Amino acid sequence: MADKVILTVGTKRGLFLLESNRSRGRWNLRGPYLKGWTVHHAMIDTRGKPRIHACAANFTYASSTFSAGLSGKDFKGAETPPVAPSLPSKAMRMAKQWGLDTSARLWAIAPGPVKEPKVLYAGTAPAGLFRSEDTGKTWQPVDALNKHRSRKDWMSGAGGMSLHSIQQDPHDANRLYVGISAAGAFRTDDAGQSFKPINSCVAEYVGAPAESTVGTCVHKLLAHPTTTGRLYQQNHVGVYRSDDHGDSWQRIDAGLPHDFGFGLALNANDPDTCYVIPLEPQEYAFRATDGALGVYRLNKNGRGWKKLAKGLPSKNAYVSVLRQAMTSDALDPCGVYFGTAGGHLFASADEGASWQTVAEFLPPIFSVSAAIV
Amino acid sequence: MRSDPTTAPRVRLRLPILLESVVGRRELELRGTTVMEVLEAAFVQFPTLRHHLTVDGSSLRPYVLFILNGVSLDRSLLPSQKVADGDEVLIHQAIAGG
Repeated sequence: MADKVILTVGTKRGLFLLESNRSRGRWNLRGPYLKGWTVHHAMIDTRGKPRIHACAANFTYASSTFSAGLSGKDFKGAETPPVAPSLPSKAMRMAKQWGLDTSARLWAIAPGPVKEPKVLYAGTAPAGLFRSEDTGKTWQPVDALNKHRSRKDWMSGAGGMSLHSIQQDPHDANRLYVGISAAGAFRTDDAGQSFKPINSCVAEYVGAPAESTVGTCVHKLLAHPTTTGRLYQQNHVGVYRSDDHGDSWQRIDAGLPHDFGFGLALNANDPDTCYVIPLEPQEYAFRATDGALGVYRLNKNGRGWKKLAKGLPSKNAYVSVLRQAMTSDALDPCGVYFGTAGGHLFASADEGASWQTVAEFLPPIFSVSAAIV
Repeated sequence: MRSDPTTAPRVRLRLPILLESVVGRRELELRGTTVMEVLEAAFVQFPTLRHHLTVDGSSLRPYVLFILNGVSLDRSLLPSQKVADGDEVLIHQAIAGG
């Protein structure tokens, strides 16, 4: 039986691994690995022999995916890394006008279907989806999305136009969901041969023409691992749930102090629960509300939110949590984890009821993922 | 015109530590008569180096230095800068800040 929980923590300056047993009471930190690289996202793929996969960037050298065994000592870059497509002309004009980030980066790496353990997906900025069929050695663009007819209307957010969320449907190998800021969510039902926008009922953000099927600003999108068709998204404007594979969305953020945030996590044992960390909106620079760091859990009946802050700093904590920096594990009770842009890592082994600080003074944390190995 | 790869000078190319995890080693032994030919030979042996060191596969990325036997080279001279047997070309990240 898999008996270890490993957190992969991507930071501005390398990758760190934290390891615990199933009780998740004590954590041992090792690293940094990929020293000198900025690790925007990393995860452990457990479909076969567990391996670490990471997206890394550097000021001087181009971005790449990297892979290693669990020791973290044998990272190897891709032979043909994903190369992000260029920004659409309208988004480029807006980016130049507003001084937005247009640099090419890798934002996400994710496993493909369970029965295809060599298949991985990667997301880039400017937004592009890439598929590997050899566990990350070589990558090919998924043109049905990267050349989608709506692409001309995709816009850049302040963080760039990033494809940050990639979710393989756990029940259908041909179905995949992606989230792009600031274009919206898309779904393929035919293993990437075609994609459709799934943004109905989601508030528009900026730039998209009226009644467009794109132009929403999904910050993070997750598919529930056991409940068919159930998706959640933290949007720039609100938190949403879908029960029909994204064909429609219901807004569920009533009761949160802010509808804005980045992080999102689910409970594999309870499809009605999700976790978010509301942040003060743009004018206040995306910080924890009133300096009191709090995770909010949607109640088990799916109605109302509960603030979970036992063990978290209750004052003077003006930190941010980025979109890849919150996650959960698949144990029961569910473990929930998040890292801050200030380099603190928090863990809960009891579904968020209490928290402990498991690492401090790390570089700014960009991503946190959990695996049972 | 490229030189004969079997008779061109044998040159040591030292890679930056960040690219060690890309190709799995710090040093390559390559043949070429100019610094650019040495780089091209590296790109043939490890195509991923072209990805990391160029923009769109062609022009060299900014903030990368090419140092021949301890002397930093003007980029415009890379195609014409001759190398000899036993020379060392070092790729290094430009240091900037303050």
